[in-house]
Amino acid sequence: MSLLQIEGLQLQFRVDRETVYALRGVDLSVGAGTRTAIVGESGSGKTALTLSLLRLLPPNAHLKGSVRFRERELLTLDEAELRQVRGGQIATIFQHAQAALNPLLPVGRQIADVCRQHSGVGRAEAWERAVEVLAATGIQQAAARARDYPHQYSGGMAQRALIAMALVCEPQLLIADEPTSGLDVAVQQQVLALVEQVVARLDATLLLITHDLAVVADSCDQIIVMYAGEVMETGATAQVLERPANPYTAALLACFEQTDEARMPFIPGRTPDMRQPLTGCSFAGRCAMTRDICHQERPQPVEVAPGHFSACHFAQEVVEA
Amino acid sequence: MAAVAQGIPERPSLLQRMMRINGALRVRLNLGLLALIILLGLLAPVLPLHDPVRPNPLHRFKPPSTEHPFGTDGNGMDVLSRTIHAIRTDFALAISSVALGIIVGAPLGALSGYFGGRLDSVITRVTEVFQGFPQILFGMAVLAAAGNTMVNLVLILAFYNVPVYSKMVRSVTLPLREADFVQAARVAGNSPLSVVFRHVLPNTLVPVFSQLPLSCAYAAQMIAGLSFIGLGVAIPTPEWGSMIQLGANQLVFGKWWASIFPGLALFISVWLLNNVSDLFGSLVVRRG
Amino acid sequence: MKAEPAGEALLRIEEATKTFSLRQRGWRRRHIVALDGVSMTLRRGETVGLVGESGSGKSTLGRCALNLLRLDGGRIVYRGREIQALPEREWRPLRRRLQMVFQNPVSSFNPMMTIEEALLDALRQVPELDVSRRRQRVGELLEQVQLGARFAVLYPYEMSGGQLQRAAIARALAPEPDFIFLDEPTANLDMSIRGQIINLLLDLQRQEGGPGFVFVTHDLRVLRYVADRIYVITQGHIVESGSRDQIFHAPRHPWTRALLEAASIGRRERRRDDGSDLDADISLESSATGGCRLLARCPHARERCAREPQLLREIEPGQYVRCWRAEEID
Repeated sequence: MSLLQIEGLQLQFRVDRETVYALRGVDLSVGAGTRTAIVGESGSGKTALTLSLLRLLPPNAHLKGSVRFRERELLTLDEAELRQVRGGQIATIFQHAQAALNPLLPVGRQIADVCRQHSGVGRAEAWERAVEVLAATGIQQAAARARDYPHQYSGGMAQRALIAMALVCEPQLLIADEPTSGLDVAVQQQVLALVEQVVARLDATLLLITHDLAVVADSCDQIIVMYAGEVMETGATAQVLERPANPYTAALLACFEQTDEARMPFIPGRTPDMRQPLTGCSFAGRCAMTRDICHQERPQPVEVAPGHFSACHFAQEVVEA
Repeated sequence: MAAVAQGIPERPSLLQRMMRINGALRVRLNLGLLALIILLGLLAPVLPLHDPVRPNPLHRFKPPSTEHPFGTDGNGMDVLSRTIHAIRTDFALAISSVALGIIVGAPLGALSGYFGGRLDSVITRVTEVFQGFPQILFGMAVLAAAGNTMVNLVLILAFYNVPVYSKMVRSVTLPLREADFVQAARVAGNSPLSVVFRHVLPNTLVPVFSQLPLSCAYAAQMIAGLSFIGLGVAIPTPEWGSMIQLGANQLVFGKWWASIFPGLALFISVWLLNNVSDLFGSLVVRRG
Repeated sequence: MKAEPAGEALLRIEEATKTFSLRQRGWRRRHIVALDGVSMTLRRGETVGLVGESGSGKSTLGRCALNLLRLDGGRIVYRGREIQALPEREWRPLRRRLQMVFQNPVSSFNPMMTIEEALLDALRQVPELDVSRRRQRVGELLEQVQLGARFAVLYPYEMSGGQLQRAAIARALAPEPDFIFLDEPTANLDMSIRGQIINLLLDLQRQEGGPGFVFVTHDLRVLRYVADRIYVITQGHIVESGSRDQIFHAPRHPWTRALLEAASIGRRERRRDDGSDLDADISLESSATGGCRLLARCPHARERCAREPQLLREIEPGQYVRCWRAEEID
């Protein structure tokens, strides 16, 4: 059963008489109870997608399509209904935890506020709950640290506090947008492990937004690869990483691999201009196996193996290569 | 259930579109009107107007007519011609005093912000003392002591713009001091002064330009104010403040035209300059 | 330029110490030890990797070595002269020999200048070139970093991050430096284009008489391609140094091993969250206890680690490790 179903999602920004195409028609579904990663580089639309789900968009954005969360259309909800969903059923952990916390309030107070908003408990009880979740996210002496202000937290602890804040809502879907960016490698590991623990404990679904394939390999069972505002490939993590069916995924994977080659692999060229509509495949300009059709026709997703889709005219060839 | 829902419409609503056109329109409208006023001032000598400084004792306080559309003032001079010629005086004085303020203030602010330390303390204290003087009183004192000339008027007004711009540029410079491109400029061999003038200062000018029209508006008000109390620009020279003053004592006798027309001109100019300043400011915010 | 025998130290950093003090809660000050007795030797034409997590002091070291920042203690010796104490007049002719590439390619260019103006700005320190030669040199430099002269007229915001970073390398090459400090030059770039920068460095390394590089990074993966020698730094301390092969194939310090493990794909089994506060400000507490600074983070810690400060010692020719248990743990 799919928890989140996105169809034909298009997001455009109007900037000084130009149109920026952030999402160019995204179809995807996230199964309940899965840990799904959305992988993409800058300009891939992965963050635009998250913000679209929650409708946290600036006024110059134009969003079209359908986003259904538990069979409920999110794009037509009014502001009050939407607030119930945001933070209640869907919780988000943003990148740069320090910046996501209010510098003027103690961390525990911020968590307690969220708690009171969502479960309507009293002040004292909310505070107790805040201390409890802080402790559950591995913050030592949580009762004391709850009274501290965000600047007294290190980056990793701030990220833990954000996770705690997400935890009090007991969401069904937890979106983690690059939760480890800017943290040390050792701390990254802990934060990811913590996210996984929390998701398991709540029996929630995880949507992890990241650019780092190494993170995905460990933390997620499903993978959605995005490029230039389109979905390139979806499937089980092991399938996609071991037998990629899209040339972009394959090329990106090569950049992460440790080889004894003398030169470091890279993808030549640059991402397509976001201010131009696309006719063919978005990766055609950089792909090693581009043919005429790639410039003329946008590839539709092909199922190369059960549950493994790739939007490439030559998906079958890629997967067999 | 329809698969496709229209959440936020693809096309902007009529209201949104009007707002957007309105935004662009407001900029153009304000800048256009301002340009029209300045153009009118520039063309004043060649326009078919009466001589703005020729008194005519036989035609004192004539109400508006086809011969004198804005009427005549207490010296029998044509109010329309004087109002238009005054654009030259007021704008020239305002712009030159603000320009002088920027030329002196901006580098001071950049130096003070970049080097910090004792230089910063000295510049900041001195500019604060500048700002501490009550402006009208100071203007009166200087004009009375050093002579009631246009040059002195410009200097007084510039004197008040120096701290405004030095403070503004200083505050923009402080975060730039640690900016990567400033460090890169040091690595590229720029001397400290060259870092300030080639790399830091040009990057502080955006807020300066958005402040500029506001300063001009303020300067125009000051000129009119000083002229109104009899200092600044002396009578035969067409200038809004002195015109308003000349007409003011006849206002109560129903002879409104000698004051109202220059007053309106001053009001419209200041208003347009304020608008343009606001719009520049919001453009800057949006880009940033 | 005098010819110097290969292998001779061109730049020596000796016992560099730097402490920042931050104001915290009103008048109280908090001291952060960015560098604590760091020594490094850089030889002509070689590429040295400097690896450490954020806040380990690696960027501070780069800025001190370029004289952008003053050390609190220790010396930076370039061609036998201590550069931190040099008066501005004597330092300026040397400045061009030590160049830098910054982490964020966008913010390291003056937004009001075109690429050509930025390169000309850097070429002003080359007195032997006249003005017309300088413009020609801009074209040559852009070719050298595989951009092409057509980029000269562009403003920074008109270029991609990868292109700008290459322009930044061109700017650093302009005054014919002996060394270029690359401060996380690929960290702000997408994984798929990091290779462009790394391969460009490989090409530049091959050129006769080219500069040496100090490649500062938190990502060990990229050093495998470019570094001749590697220093591992954490909390202002060098914990291990050695040749690329020594670091990648026979790392000795537990911290180096942790970094190497974290950089590889497929590490499912060993990750666990034990709730320990690994990223608390250890630099604060540990300086007080006198033991090994990594005590709280180290899975191999023994009681002795808490008592004795660790010293760098040579365990293989050219490989130095700051851990008394280096030989035993595996």
